[in-house]
Amino acid sequence: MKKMLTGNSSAAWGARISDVDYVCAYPITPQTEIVETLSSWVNKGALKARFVNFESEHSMFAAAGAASLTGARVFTCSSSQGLIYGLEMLYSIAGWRAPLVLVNVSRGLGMPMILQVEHGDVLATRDSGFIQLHAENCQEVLDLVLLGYKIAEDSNVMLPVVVNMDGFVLSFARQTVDIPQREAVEKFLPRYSHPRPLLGLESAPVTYGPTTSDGFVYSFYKYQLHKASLESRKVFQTAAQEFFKIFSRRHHAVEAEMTEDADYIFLVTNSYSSNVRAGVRSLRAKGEKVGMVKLKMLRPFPREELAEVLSQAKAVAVFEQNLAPGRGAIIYPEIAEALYHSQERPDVLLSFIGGLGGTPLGMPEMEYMLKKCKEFLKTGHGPEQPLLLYRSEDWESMKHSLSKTGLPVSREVS
Amino acid sequence: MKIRIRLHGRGGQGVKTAGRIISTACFLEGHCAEDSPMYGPERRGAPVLSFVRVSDGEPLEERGYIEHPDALVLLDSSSVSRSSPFYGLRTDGLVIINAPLLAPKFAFPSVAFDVSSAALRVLKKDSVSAGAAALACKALGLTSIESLSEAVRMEMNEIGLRPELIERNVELARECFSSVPTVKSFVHAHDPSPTDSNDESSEKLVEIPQMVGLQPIAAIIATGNSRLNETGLWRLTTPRIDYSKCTKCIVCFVYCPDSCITLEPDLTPHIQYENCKGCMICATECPLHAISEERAVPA
Repeated sequence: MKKMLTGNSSAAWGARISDVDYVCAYPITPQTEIVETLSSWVNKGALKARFVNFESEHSMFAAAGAASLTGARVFTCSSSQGLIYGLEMLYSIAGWRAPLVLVNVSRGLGMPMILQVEHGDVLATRDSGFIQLHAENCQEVLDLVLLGYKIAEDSNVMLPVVVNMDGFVLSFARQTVDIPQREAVEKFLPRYSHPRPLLGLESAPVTYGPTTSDGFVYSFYKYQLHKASLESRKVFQTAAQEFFKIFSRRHHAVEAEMTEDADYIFLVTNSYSSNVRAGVRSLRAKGEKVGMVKLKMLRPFPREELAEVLSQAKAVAVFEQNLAPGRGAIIYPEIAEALYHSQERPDVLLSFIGGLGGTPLGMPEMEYMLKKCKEFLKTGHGPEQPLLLYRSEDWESMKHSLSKTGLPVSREVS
Repeated sequence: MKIRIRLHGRGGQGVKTAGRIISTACFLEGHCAEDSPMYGPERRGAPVLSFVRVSDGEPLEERGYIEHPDALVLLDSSSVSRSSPFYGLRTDGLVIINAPLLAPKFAFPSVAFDVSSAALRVLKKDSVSAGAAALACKALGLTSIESLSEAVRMEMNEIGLRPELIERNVELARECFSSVPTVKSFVHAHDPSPTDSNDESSEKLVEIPQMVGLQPIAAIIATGNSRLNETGLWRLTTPRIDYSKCTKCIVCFVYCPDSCITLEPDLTPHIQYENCKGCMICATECPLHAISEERAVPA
């Protein structure tokens, strides 16, 4: 059934057709529409699940993880400050090996306070043990929720999954989404059962998340977490093949387009992938040998696939919507590491930051990134990185905003 | 072939719903469509935008706000004089407006129809989303009247309208659809729409300098600068003082929640319309009923 859905309602539909048992909610813009939708379905009986509102994201995540260990299929979601507020629990959930799905709607982290997109929130969870899948459009949101449960609940994985979508750009935008039939979903996603559920039989008690003072115990379980995460790459691949057979839509951890003969590759994640694809097509029409790589899976990090697809290019421009002050972009060093041991690797690997708070990514940015790659390639000298993308018209508006603050005009550091 | 539509109106007028009706109608027609509203901390009466992108099948690989629309839909004619909605509109872009006509000083091709009057007659209130969506679907040749009617039903049902009110909205939409011509045929047009690329270049990027002092810290020390935020644009109703009745009792001055009423030395009150949101508290409180309510005027 095809319908016009926002990214948020697509996430809710993903939970609904996954037949979740338990929904944990705490509102935060731009995510609230997801839990509003689910709560109305639970109320009407369209979704047979328990819906609980919590007093904070921290307790919400705690309940979500614990419920997952009882054998319930659990869905929860958050965004930005809320996700960060509950961050401590995300490490616990992964450590408990609770296979739930969490949808994050990316929003910038204050200050200044903003409601629009930036990926600092979801990337702050990158080392928690969660598997991370990032969506480009509303259809992918739904697909990745389904794939999320499939991978999470695999007995070789047993890890939670975070599915990311961009706030506003996807969360409030309606696109055509194909909602699969229930029978097809049941075929793809069988009932979840935990091997030793919490609060199961009284005769079968179990403790999850015990304490230890021994490093060898701690190391053992942390290493197990890592190995399970690495294993999920294979599981994702198999699941994606099965997904294609049933639903006819392909998903890969790393998706390369127009890269066969490309000298220059733009690397991107999430919804701005669409802008980059349009830009690559325009540049191709002008005779530029460019291509794009979309990173759909951030954790586990698909190092080999990336190295294979990027190594043939002369230059790679990595575009990111996040900023680690004093370091630069967050994913860029991981790309560099992935390429380090490649026999053949691009001569130029440049880091660009833009789209923070939803600033535009269009042809000016695409042309600028290409120009910088070419300059570096030609001269052998690279600019200081990362390069911060900012439009001159935005700078004019910013100066106007500054003039309204009443602050004395400050000197610029030369 | 792609078309980008930007809708302008005020909070509470149904700008988002109008965008959704257009895009759902296009979806039902078999086109590829996408819509998104601009969300912010707006309240009733504040300027609100919505965006619709339509293609006849090719993927819509654009995200975010529409800066260079092919068509504008103006639900609120007062926005023309007050907030200049024409920015970024292509020179041959079409203006679709809820008004008897578009003032000749705006040199854009236009389709005008007084949806508000029709809505007052059919719905008994100035609720124009279905009618405005109908103008766009017809003027741009996007959909049939059947797809439009079905889209109105779907979207009005989605927001929880009673069945008889939904049908009256369908009636309004059909009337508006039949009252305007198709100016551009979307389905048969060649692709004249420039992507943003044609009038943008990488020269437009700048490196911002590092600042020292207080400016790099997000701080505001100016007092009274909310005056710079012209909330008068939010006004749907305007209070007018009848000075022949005013006794300079200054009750209006005391009750104005936004301090938009100033006093002359002899205590004669003046309403500052740049910031007056039209809450009408002054009119309610005036003991002499010297303040009357004026509806927003058309362009």
